[in-house]
Amino acid sequence: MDKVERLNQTALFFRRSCLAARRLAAVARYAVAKPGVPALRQWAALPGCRRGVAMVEFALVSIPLLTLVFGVISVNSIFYTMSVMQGNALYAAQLVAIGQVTSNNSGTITSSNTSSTAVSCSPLPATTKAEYYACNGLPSWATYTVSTTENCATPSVTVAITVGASAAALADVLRIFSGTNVTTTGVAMKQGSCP
Amino acid sequence: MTAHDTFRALSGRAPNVRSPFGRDPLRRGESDRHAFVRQGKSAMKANGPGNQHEPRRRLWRDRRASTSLLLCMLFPVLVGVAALGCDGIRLNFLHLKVAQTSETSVVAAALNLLNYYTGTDQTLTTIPAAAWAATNTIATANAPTGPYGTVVPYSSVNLGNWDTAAKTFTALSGSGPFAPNAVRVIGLATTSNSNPAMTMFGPLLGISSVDISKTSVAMWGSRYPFNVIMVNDTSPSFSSYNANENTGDQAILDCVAAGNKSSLFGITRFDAHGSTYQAPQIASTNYAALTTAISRMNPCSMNGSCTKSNVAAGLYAAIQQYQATWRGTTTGAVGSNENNWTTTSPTNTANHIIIITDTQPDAQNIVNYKLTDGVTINGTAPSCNSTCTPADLIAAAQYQAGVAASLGIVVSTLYYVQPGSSSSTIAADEAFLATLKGSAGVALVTPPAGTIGTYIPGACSMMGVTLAM
Repeated sequence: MDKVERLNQTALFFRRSCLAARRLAAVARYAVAKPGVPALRQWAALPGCRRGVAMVEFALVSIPLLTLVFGVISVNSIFYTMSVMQGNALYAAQLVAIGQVTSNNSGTITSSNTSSTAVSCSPLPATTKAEYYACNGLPSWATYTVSTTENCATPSVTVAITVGASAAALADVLRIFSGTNVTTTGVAMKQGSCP
Repeated sequence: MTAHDTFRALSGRAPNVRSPFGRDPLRRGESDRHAFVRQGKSAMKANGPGNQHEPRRRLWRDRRASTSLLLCMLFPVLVGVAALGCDGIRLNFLHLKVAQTSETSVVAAALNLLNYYTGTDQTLTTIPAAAWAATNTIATANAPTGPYGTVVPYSSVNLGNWDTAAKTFTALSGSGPFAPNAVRVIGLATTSNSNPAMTMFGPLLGISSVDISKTSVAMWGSRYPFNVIMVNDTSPSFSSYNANENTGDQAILDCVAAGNKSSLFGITRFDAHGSTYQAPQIASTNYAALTTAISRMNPCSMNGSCTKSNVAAGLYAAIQQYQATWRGTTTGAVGSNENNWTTTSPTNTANHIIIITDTQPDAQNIVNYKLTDGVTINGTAPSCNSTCTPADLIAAAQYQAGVAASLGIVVSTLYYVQPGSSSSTIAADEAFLATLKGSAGVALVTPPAGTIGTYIPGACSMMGVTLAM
């Protein structure tokens, strides 16, 4: 038997082994061993089989790959959410500061009513409230709370929006951001007297 | 992938990516050598230890686990690209933060720019302490120093003047006194400011940090018309300072004309009596004519009397001009009876009277006071004629200031301190003017021998603040 023939026989062996492996799949599927073929022999053929290697490889590489993909989605979603929150927070603060909006969740802004309790953005607050302008247009995949504070020491208005980081991350499959909150704050100088 | 497969790919045939053990090694006329090599492990045995380069070559040509291998090689690249994407959006957020901090800080600084005019030193080129405190409070509230560093350092807040036509900011420099109308803030996240935006994975591309800066300018300006009628003191005590007073009028005209384009500007004057020198006109479109009128103003010679001082008369004339404007009647043609002054300031306009004077009213028996001098107001205000006392005229001035306030006109004052004035005189004069000033008005004071034109622009702070850039 020359070398080539020997090699060909070896290849044939593996090929048969794979046929056995395919049979194994049937075994697994029907839970019935091939009549006349010892079950152990069918299983013994598995280590030599290269069929489905791509699937196994994909399963292995998909772990870091999907982690990477979801990680990128999460980080970008958080920063996108933060950007929108930051823009909204200052916008609402400026509307109060210039006197266009004169109420917050606790009612009309007066000297004795300098801060509002945190309010949820869902349902959307009334358009007469400062919180409406902080909530309007925030990404829909998370829930937010808003608080408006008027500080008369340095006449200014502070609007703070808080969101759970995990919800903002959108695809936090590994729960990395679980239990963490993200808060963005906008502070605008108030024109005129306070209130 | 072997060179053989590369050849197959280039020749338009699909490369063989399957495991070599799953198919016939002698397929489609492959040479024995290729088939031989493709056998991998078993081929090693056949080849024997004689060829020392063979294992390496086999390793090179071995296509098992090629996907994993490729991914391992690509993984740093994938991570790098993903990280740069994360860096990008993070830098975007930081830029938003720096921009917002810059804009809110500059508004805070501009809203407190009046401190520059109420301070004692107008040769300073730096922001007054009170204004800086407010600016710093807002800046650090928006960008806390912990995570962001000092985004708005003291040195990046500059006072200056904004040219609305050329859209340029000129920072104060040289020797003063100055009359700034704008503030510039440069928000910084830079290496030189010790707070650059550090990148997480930028070093892979040799970019360990990024400099972010945002320049904002805020100036005095109003959304609605900001109308001003100047009430000029032309009493004998002021005769030497007419030119000084004219520069004050011009300074206010400049800021009124630079603001809302519908703003009106007018001038009334007073000695014992009052009169309208310049009926209110739109400042921006009549700027040249108004400037000429101001330069020609020499009310003492014009009026012919120039005796004594009765600020009530100037206030009366100014209120009359506002009434005429609001009623749409011919300017100055409103009846002299202030009982007709029932029209209040229209909404969405700011109406101001700015009084320039150097002393409290004084009276003399020989002056015949009239209704238009603001002293005989149907018996409800001090009613006097040739027997008016200084106290009567003070009461009359306060009455007229009250009338202005009730009509929605904001009264502000500029006290010109005569050189050589005693501190008690200054205190008494300031106390009197404080009774005329409206709650929303400003009280400005020049130092002795100071220039009115330098201090009076502080009144323009009442315009509010608008972002210039």
